[in-house]
Amino acid sequence: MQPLDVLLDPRSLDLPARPVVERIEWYKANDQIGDPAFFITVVLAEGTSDDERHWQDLGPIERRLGDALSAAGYAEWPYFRFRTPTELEIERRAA
Amino acid sequence: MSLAADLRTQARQLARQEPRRPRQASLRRAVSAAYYALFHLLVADATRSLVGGAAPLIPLRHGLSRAFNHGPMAQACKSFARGLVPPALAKAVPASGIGTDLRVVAETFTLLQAERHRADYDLAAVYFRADVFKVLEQLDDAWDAWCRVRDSQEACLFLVALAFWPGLQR
Repeated sequence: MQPLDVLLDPRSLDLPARPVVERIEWYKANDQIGDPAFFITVVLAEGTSDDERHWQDLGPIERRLGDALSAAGYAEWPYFRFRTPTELEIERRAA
Repeated sequence: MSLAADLRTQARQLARQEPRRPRQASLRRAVSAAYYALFHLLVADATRSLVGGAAPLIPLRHGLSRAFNHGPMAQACKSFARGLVPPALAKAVPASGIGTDLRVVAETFTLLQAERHRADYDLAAVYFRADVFKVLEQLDDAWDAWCRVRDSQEACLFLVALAFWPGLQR
């Protein structure tokens, strides 16, 4: 099975051109019903506007990543969040 | 207006409350309301499907609503989102299989439930308005998908699965 850090490298995924995905972080944990899951943070380029963060823009990224995981044989359910580097920093400071 | 529709409206209002600096409480409650909008939309249709929609049956429908559990509903939705149904129901699946609209509903239910759990219990999480708008747009997609599919045989099958998922695993 392809390692996740290779599989989730944005350079190797055919992601939409916009919004720009800088990198993808992930960790494995159980979800709210106790099932193994992937919690994936898609880090968008700094300055990505809210206009580029509608579901019609982000949905294709989720589907592409979900399809890649599924095709590679991972059965864990993927949950996604989208963050700019600044938002990620705000969240980490708050934690 | 139904409880589900009221909750969807409330989620939208909460997401736009405090236009300049939204409170975490407003954003978190918007996420929670969005999940419960979809939850009550499906439970209302499930109870109507199971016991009928006549007015004298409303108390029975309300009572039956209490029997729906979030965890098993999410389990059922994960399965349907992947086009899988338990063997006990396999012969009831239409020849065309589980369609895209129903998969969207099932997937969205799963995602919104997890997001609701985070919003209500993860105090370390920080919500941005964009997060909530995304949730609301996912809800809108699922709502529209459900309206297209709700009268179909596969929807009936799905509602039965939501109600009886643990027993259907035997």
